[in-house]
Amino acid sequence: MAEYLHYYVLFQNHTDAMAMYRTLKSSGIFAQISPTPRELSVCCGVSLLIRGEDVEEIRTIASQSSLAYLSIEGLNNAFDNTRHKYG
Amino acid sequence: MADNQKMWGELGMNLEMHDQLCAVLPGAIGDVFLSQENRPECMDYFDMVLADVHGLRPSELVEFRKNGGKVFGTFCAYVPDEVIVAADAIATGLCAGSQFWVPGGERYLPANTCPLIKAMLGARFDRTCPFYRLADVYIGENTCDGKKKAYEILGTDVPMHIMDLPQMKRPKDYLKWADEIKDLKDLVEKTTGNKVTEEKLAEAIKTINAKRAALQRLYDLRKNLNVPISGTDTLLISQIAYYDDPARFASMVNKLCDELEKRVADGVNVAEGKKRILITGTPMAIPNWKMHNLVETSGGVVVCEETCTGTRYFENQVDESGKTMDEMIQNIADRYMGINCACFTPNTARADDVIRLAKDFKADGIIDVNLMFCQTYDIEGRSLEERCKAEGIPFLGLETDYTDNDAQQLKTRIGAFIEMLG
Repeated sequence: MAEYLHYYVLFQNHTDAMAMYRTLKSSGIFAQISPTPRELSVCCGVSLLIRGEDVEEIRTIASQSSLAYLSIEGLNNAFDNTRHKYG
Repeated sequence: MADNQKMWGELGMNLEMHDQLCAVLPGAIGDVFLSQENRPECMDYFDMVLADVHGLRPSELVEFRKNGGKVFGTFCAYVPDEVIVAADAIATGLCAGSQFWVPGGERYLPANTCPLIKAMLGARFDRTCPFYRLADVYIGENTCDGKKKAYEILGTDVPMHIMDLPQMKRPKDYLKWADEIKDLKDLVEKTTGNKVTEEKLAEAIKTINAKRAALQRLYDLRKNLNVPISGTDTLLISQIAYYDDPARFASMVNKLCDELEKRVADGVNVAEGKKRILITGTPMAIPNWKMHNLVETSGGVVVCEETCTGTRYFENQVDESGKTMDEMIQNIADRYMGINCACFTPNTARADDVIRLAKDFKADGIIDVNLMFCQTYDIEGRSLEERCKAEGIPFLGLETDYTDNDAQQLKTRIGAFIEMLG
């Protein structure tokens, strides 16, 4: 169903990200605080990793609760704990 | 997130070069942290700090400095944050755990210098770390020859104060360290314009003790046979301890511990069937997660670190009973002199610590990991191995640096060691 491996909610700032995170958590929706992948933004920063099947519900919640975000993007960036590349 | 770029620009950072670090870190964090399963919910605070590691805390330091506050950069577990906090200043660790900064350091240092020291100079002179830009004064210490000489080079670019740490533990050395702490107090007062009063110092001792107590509580939870949190996550917490606000940090660690206590009660185990490993050796500055990642993807789980990013940082408290300034400073000196670093001679107490911790944490084996060219820890490895073998505890000694080149070779050795544990 999902087109991408991972979906990210991108934000203008950390405050907006944390507001969204708290709301999603209290709604029982999976969200993982994550650094914003390079491919999606030119800066380091906080984004939320979400599940593809939750995207539409998250858009609805954000709209109903007036939660600010920039966009929701998909990315095929596999996490591999045996890649052993540490920056 | 454009705010970060603006802040970094105003800090005089090399944006183009720093961008290269920003490009690789999210991938490493995804691989090392986000790939883990069944992580505690309360890791979310530490994930947030990590996700914006060069944005969130630096922006707080920027605001603090705008209001006249002073920031002191530190490199070592021996520098007593209590004195800095008592002057209403901020102490921040100056991380040096990435290969990204090493080539920059090699422009100033011989190649056969430890990667941590090279990364220190690279981060400063390449202008690619906001913390190095935000510290008004750096506090160094002579814990090894490499650092000692590197501080002379750093001192050409930033105000440096060196604490002369004794290298033996005789009664006169404890007094000498107290004198050095008095000098630090004078420097901090002069830099900030704030007096370190007895009341302020007593309060700061309690603040930093509370932070250490929170970390001790976290480590105690790892003694359970059901391991409630991975070593990789705990390492991240220890790394963040060096530069987060101490009171907030303690509060977040305690919140996490509440969750971990529940996990233990519920029988949650993030390391089912894995061998329990105690890591000892040189510090692992952020973002050095290499060894934990290798161990925890090779059939092991790290249950304790006898390192500066582990027990050396938080074990033992400053005695809070001191009333006068001299008593309090001596109590601080006594606590910090209790850290057992390989820069001391003799240093048999470190081996005692390792054996004690291995038993307390029910370790199946010990891995001694030293950064390349760290002579004191490297030499001490032999006697440590003999002690561990005499105690019947399996031991593996490894040497590495910040590159990824030896990862597969290390993994083979670690995998064989863990397999041998049965």
